[in-house]
Amino acid sequence: MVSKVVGQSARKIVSLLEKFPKDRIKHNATFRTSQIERFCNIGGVAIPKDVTEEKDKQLQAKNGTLKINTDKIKKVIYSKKEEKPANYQKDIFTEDILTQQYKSLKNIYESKWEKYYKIDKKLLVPKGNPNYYHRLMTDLNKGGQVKEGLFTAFKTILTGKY
Amino acid sequence: MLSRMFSRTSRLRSLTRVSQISVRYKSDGISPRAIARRSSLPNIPNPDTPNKDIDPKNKLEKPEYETGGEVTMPGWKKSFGEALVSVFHIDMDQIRASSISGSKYYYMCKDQALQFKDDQLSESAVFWYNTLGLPRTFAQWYQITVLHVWMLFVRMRSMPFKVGKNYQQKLVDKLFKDIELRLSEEMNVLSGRIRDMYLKDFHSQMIGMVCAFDEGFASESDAYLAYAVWRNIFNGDKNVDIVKLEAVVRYVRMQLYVLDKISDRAFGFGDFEFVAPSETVDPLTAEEEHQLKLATKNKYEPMDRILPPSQRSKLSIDE
Repeated sequence: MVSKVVGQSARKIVSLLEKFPKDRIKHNATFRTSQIERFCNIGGVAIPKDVTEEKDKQLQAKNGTLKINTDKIKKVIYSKKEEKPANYQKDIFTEDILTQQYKSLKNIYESKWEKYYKIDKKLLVPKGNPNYYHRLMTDLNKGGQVKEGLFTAFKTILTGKY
Repeated sequence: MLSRMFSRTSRLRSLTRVSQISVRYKSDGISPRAIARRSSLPNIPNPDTPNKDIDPKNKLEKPEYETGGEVTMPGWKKSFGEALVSVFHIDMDQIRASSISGSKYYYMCKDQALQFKDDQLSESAVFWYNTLGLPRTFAQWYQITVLHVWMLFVRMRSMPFKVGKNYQQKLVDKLFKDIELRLSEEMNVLSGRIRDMYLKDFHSQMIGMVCAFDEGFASESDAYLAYAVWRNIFNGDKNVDIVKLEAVVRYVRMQLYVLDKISDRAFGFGDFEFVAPSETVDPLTAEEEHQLKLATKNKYEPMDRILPPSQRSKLSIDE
């Protein structure tokens, strides 16, 4: 049984995690959803519906790209064995530990270190390749799925610049 | 070395000139290692990445120039080289790429997390494997090495295009040459076909990592950088300790800050070292930045003597 204090701290972490930005492109693992699931489990809170939906979508996308689905093969071979749920080791979590985790998560959310170590345009708009990050971010914001035009592709091949 | 000027710093307490460009400071700040050690959460092993290290068949010997030993050249060879550079107007910025990027910088990246089964860990490797609890495997060493290679890439992009591209190329060439040698000599992968297969895997992994870290860097948000670190260094571990994740984010930001402040000339001449995880860097004041530029100028464009042709460069001293 989860204690009331631990439940509250875990709920605080989950609500902070929900504010985190979503991934621009689909990955095999997503920090936001995996951690929401984890801390919901630790605090005994129901997993938000949008998170489970996102997880299902992610799983479908992952299966679509796999040539050999090992999970499916495992299920066929070991059909009698039940699938083990993820072990989050709930018992070791105390209020202190959860507070530490929350503080660090907040630092990440508020970009504490990005603000502390402020970087000039020198690195963000590199003189050897000024469009590099701009072009990368434009592609990523489109989900990384849109192909670029023939002209820009040729320009990249010929000049080596982005 | 230039990065040492930043490490252990806080205010400009004393400006001691050990050599022409040695300015050292002291800091009361918290290092990434200290942040990671604050966490009371015990290490939860990840079943997906077990700590199964391979016993190497034999270890690659370190060349003399890598161990920090003094490598001297006879005087006549030096003079002959200088004459060649001068007569043929050789572009030394391009030549320097192999010895600095393909040699010195690569060894720095590699040594951060290099480990062998049952061997004692170096100070930086203790941070990655003991403090952060990452598995002691070849794949993990590769991931940490690529993280450091990427940080150097970020700096190399802001060098003049041709020079920066050459530095990047030399670094990648050396990385894959070294991995191939390690796979055959240390990991005992004797089949060339299997080695090539592994190399292709490592290559696509590197492209993915560079893209993810670039996204984190260009987003100007710690969240995206933390996502990339979680996926590529912590292997997407569900039971990750977020305090340790924050420590790595701080570590990366700290190195990028030093790389941002170092000039093209000093970086191109190999005057950069990674700040150790047990050390910290405090943001520089305008006065300190001025001192840094002055020290760089004194070292690379001294007023009191003429530089030999091999030491001349077109790389910027101010940026």
